[in-house]
Parts: sequence; structure tokens; C-alpha cells
Amino acid sequence: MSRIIVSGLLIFTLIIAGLTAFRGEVLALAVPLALYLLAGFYWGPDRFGLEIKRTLSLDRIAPGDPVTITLEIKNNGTYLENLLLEDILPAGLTVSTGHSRRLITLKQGEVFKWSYEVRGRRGYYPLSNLRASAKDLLGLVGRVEQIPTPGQLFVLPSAPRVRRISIRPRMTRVYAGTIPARIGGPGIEFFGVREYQPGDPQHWINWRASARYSNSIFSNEFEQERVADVGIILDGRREINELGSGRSIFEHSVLAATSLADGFIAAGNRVGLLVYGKYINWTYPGYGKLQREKILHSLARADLGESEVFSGLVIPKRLFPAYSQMVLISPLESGDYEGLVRFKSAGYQLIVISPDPVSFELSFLPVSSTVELAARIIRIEREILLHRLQRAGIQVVNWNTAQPFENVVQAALSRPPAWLRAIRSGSGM
Amino acid sequence: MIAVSLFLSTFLSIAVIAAGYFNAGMDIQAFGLIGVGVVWVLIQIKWTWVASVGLSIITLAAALGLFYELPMWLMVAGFLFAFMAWDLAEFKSRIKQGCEEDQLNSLTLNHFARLGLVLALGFGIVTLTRFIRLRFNFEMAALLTLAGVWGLSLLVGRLRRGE
Repeated sequence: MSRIIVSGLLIFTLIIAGLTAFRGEVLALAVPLALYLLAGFYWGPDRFGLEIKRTLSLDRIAPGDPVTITLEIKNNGTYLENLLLEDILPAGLTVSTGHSRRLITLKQGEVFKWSYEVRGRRGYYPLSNLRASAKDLLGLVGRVEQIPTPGQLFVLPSAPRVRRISIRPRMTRVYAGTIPARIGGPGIEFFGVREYQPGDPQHWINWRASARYSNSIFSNEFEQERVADVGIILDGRREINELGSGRSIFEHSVLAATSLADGFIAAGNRVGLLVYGKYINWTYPGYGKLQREKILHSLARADLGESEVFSGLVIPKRLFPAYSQMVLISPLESGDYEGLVRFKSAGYQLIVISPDPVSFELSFLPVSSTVELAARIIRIEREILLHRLQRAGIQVVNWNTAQPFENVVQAALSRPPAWLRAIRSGSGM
Repeated sequence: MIAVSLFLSTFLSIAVIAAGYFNAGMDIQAFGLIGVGVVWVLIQIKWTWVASVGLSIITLAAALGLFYELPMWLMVAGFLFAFMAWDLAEFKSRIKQGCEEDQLNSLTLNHFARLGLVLALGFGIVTLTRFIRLRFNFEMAALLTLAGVWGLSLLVGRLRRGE
């Protein structure tokens, strides 16, 4: 109950009791309370005139890195003798040094500056309001306001870059890159033999083939390497990512998406990202550092969601260029098989990176024969699913999350560097 | 300092009022008040709202004591200590929200100064009523009270507007 009401009621009661009983002493007891109320109203805070400026030492950080938030408050209004300032932090950010709440006295025209350090897990954190609560010294009369102090912080996922991922989409773009384009021309890998054309370097001439025909000279042709369209699909469906005791494997999927996106962009490809969960969050394909930043921002915001519409895996094909390379990152469930096969049959090259939910959940469970039996059954089901996908022509990488992602992907998908391929192809000739 | 003052004022308010009741031979009421005091102190550790209940009970006990003509100074002192405890309970919860970098000592001293001023003024006026006695009939007293309340509100309004 408000203290003003308590003291008001007591004053009222004492006055009534004093008047009815004709006792001046009882009436006199109301005097200190009345004076208290009077003091509270007299020294109570007036309308706020606070001017607040927020600065962040960095607006994009890696998870666990500190960022310093500085708030500069100028009092353009009247004297505030008991002012509580509270910077309202979104869930996920924690104060590591200093305090996000201060209790101060602020004279008219005075400037108060305060800093504190926060750390956070992956996410997007809008910093919108500072809560100011001013009271008189006796704490009787108060005023509370949420003062807008806009700011934002991105805690971007960070993962080691995966280099030289071997993909072979059916269609590539026109720019030179590292993806074999299924087209003859200048390159490293042997592609075929054709008739010599003026301008062909002499060392391309295939003397053995030319020796068979007296009137023609033949040249070797190499496979062109170009950039490709790559679509990364991150599966954010809650029901398959959230396992027992609220533990989620989704962070591993985000890490994989970060690592792959970084690797594909670094190789010059045009990369897009689709986060599939409560709703579809689509980052339009693009090249370069700007696109990398856009994808990282999308991944920072990525969260689990549940929706009846997206409970099954239905990938909207119109978002991705025809015959492009797709990478799905998902723990998978048995019902996803049909959707993936349908997608593959539409002409897309599909790689599925599947963080293994069985080994992930098993690491948190006590060792017992029941748990082991259950794990075996689920693992067999999963292996059958993965095997069926492989038989449908889908490349599958089963990732035990206890192992570093880059090691698993390098072993499963990497192609040797160009110089090594050149040596190998040279030795083969 | 605040915690000690809060405990002392709560303890003193109960002790002083209960002493008044003991002196008058009203032992049951006195023990009842001591029970209230114990509950007040215990609950106050976690919930500050109990101070409002405590103040209300002590105010009623002091008013009843005055009605039964128990020693006035004990009743007034008990009421003022309870009033102080009520104020300090709120102040303690407020100050807990600050951090070590804040100038909490200066804030606490200013608070005590203002509370002291209010209590001293209140006590002074209560003391004056012992010596200045005017006789009014009920209608006159009620009229004066209403006029007093109205006058106080006007005064507060003017003071706040800085006139």
C-alpha cells in the first residue's frame, strides 16, 4: 500500500478519534504524520528534465566478450535528491563489471556519467529504456519514468572458418571461383580433349592424341572453376532441437551455419541464409563482407520457434536459384525424409549437416543399461534415416557435437588445395 | 547504521508503549504488544510492508493509551519510534538498490537530518499542546481541522509552485 495512503489514513483516524473522544493528545499524534506528509510533498520530485546519452564501446561482439556501456545523464530539471537509475537490460546480457543500477543525487544542470561492462550469449539486444525513479529523501512522493535511450548490441556467433568445402552444384555463376563448373576451359583439373584452337598454350597440346591423327592437333581441356549460389538452411524447429531438460542442440547448428557461411563467402560464392522455425527468416543471397555481416546478424537473431505451419520440413523452392547448392543444418527427424527427397529431385544439390542429437543428449544422461538400450534404438532409427537420405543422393554429414565441427566437415567435405590437385593431376598424366 | 537504527526504533517503540501498559496494570495488552513487536521484527527481515501494519497497530495502541490516560510521554515516544521504524524500513529497502560506488553515506545522513527535523518539529508541537490548551466545542474543532487541512494543501501547492 502506498505510504501516502497509510499516513493519510492514520491522520484521518487520529483526527476522528480525537474529535469524538474530545482528546487533544490524540489529535496531537496526527501532527508528526501531517508534517511528514507536508515535507514529502514539498521536497517531492518535480517533472523530470533528464537528458540521457548512451554509448557502447562496441556494437558487435563475440559471445563472452565484454562491452562497456556508458550513460551520460544531464539534469535539465529541478534538483533530484534521491534518484534511482536503472538501465533495463534484455535477458541474455549479464553485468560483469560495475552496476546497471545507481542511486544518486543530481543537482540542477549537473551531469552524471557512469559506465559498466556487460557480456552476453549469442543474440540481438536492443537497449531501449532507462528507468528513472525519483523520490524525496523521505521516500514518500515519487515519480517514475522510462526514458528512451536507444542502442543496440549484436553478440554474433563465432566459429572457425571451414576452408575448401567440396560442392558440385549443377549450375554455377559466371565469375571465376573455386567450384568445378562442369564446363571446359582454363582450370586445373583435366576435363577432356578437343581440337587445338588458336591461342591455346603449347603446354595444353595433347601430343599423344595429336600423334594419332595426321591433320589435326588436339589440346587438353580443363574444368573451369567458378563461384556458385549456395543456400544455407538452418532448422530452428523447437520440437526437434530442444531435447530433454530443456537442453538445446540449436547452438551447435548456429555454429555450423556460421562456419559454413563464412567459408562459402570467403571462397567468393553467393550465399543466402534461411532460418526455418516459428517463421521463415530469409537473408537474400549476396557476395562479400557485407553479406557475411548480414548473415551473422541473422544468425545472431536466430531462435527456436514452433509453428503448426512449419512443423514439417517444407523448403520453399522459389527462394533459391534453380540447380544451386543447398546446405541444410538440422538434427533431422524421420518425417523430414520426404521433404528432402522432393527438394533434391527438384534439381538442387543437397548437403545435410546433422548435429547428432543422440550423442548430445546421451552426454547429459546417467550411464545405465536402460539409457544405453534407448540410445541404441534411437541411434539405429537415425542411422536408417541417414542411410536412406544417402541412397537418395543426398550428401550427409553426421556430426557428433563432442568433436570440433571444422574437423568433421574437413574430413567429410573438403577438397585438396589447388596446388595439391595440380600435382596429383600432373602425376596422373 | 540503518539496520541498527531500524531495529532499535522498532524495539524502543514496542518497549516504551508496553512499559506504559505494564505501569497501568494492563499486562495482557502489554504482552500482546510485545508479541506484535516480535512478529514485526521477524517479518521485517524479508517484507517491508509489515512496517505499515506495525505503525498502524502502535498508533492505535498509543491513541488508546492516551484515551485510558496512560503516561502521555511514553505513548508519544512509542508512537514516534514506531514512526521512525516505518520510515527507516522504506529507506533501507531503497538504499539496498544502490551500489558501493554510490554516495550512500551522504544520502543516509541527509535522510536522518530530514527525518530528525520532522520528528523534532512534531515532538515540539505535541509538547506545546501540553501547555497551550484552548477549549472548543465539537463543531468549532471540526471546522478548525477542516480549515487546517485546506490551509495545509494550499501551502503545499504554493510552496511547490515556488511562489
